[in-house]
Amino acid sequence: MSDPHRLLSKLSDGDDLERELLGSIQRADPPEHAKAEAWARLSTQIAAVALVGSAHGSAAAASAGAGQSAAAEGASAAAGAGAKSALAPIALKALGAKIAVALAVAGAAIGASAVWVHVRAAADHAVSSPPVTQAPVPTVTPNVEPAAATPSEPVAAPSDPTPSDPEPQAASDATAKPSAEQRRRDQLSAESSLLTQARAELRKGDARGAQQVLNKLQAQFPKGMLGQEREVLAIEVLAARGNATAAKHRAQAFIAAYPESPHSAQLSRFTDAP
Amino acid sequence: MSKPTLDFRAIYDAHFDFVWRSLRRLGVREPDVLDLAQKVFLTAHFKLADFEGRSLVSTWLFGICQRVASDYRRSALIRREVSTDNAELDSVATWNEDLSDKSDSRRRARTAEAILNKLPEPQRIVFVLFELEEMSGQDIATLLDVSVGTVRSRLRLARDTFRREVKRLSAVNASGRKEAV
Repeated sequence: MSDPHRLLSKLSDGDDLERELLGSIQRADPPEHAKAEAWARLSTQIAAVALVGSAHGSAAAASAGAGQSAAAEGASAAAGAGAKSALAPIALKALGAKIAVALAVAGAAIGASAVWVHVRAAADHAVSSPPVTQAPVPTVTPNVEPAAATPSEPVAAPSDPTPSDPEPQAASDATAKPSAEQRRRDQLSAESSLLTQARAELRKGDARGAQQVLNKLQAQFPKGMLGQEREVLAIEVLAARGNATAAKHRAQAFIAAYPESPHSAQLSRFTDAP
Repeated sequence: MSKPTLDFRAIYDAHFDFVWRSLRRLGVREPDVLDLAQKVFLTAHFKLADFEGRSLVSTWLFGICQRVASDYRRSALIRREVSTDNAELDSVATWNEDLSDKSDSRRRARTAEAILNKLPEPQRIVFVLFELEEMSGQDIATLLDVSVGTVRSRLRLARDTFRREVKRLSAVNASGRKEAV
């Protein structure tokens, strides 16, 4: 027994109108910018969650600064308010609100002007999201929209009780025995703060200082999650130190290795250089 | 431990388009796809440790897309942004021009989506994967973890509904034009 002919195929018994209608929605590829934009937001969110998640540890407070204690306080508050449950994908909508807090904190604490941290994009996103009911408790407050009171729709199960989701209490056990997830978030948080530091050095015009931080980053996180971002920054540092040829070669290597990366387009300015 | 995180980036780069298309196919309106794609990957990031390669990455991601889209559809229905109501569907689908007029492709797309919104979700998924993604019945069965027989019967039901709706709209449209004249 084989599949029937597709309605869009002339071999099927579909009529012209059916084909017209179906054909009108056949193409559904993302617009060009979407992939890079989504990644920028995503890495911000992941980093923000890492920051919030590590507030009980001290990783977030690793680099000292004037706004540090306020930042740590804010982060703990955010963590207390719901970062624990934030790990359960069920609560992702609620997570949006926490992330907005964490982003503000991150912005204050680490002066996140890094290219990969599109705080603005994410903040805009957070603002444009439908309002989340202010939840005093972290728990399951599913993402019921404020307009959810329509009688015809049962509101009982607005989110999927996926059995495979991690237990909500799993994260709160983290103090006893850090989960792999916890460690991953701590590491990501440390990695992203080093990367931000390196970028800040470069912005200040201290390419040598940036290079030193990048070396540290390379040594501590040889296979870090932000490896692509580190390499892009390393290329910028090379160029800033006047080593255009090396920058060009590494940009070429990057583009060859990650042709689909959103950074590759941006690196072409180095490969196009004479 | 660094391996899964490295893989996450690779997964993102390799599957972003797939996730985007899947969400569109599952009834997410274009302006909302970016947000939801982000949600899918954020979920994937936190669940990566649980995944452990028990299925194809695309199968796994599609499962996440289904849940995210299903939540979305539910809340969009509540907000009345996605309609399955006949009267509203008819108003979307009432063309001034002839149905086959090539100039009005946007309206046709909206009409087609409105019709798909009338399908029960299991049928809709099979229908779009088969008719639009051009996947084989066997591949769809694997993706959804159901039998090929189930895929075929859902496809049959979905086609019946789709064709009935197209005919109905076509009739509505013809009478609407007559009244206008």
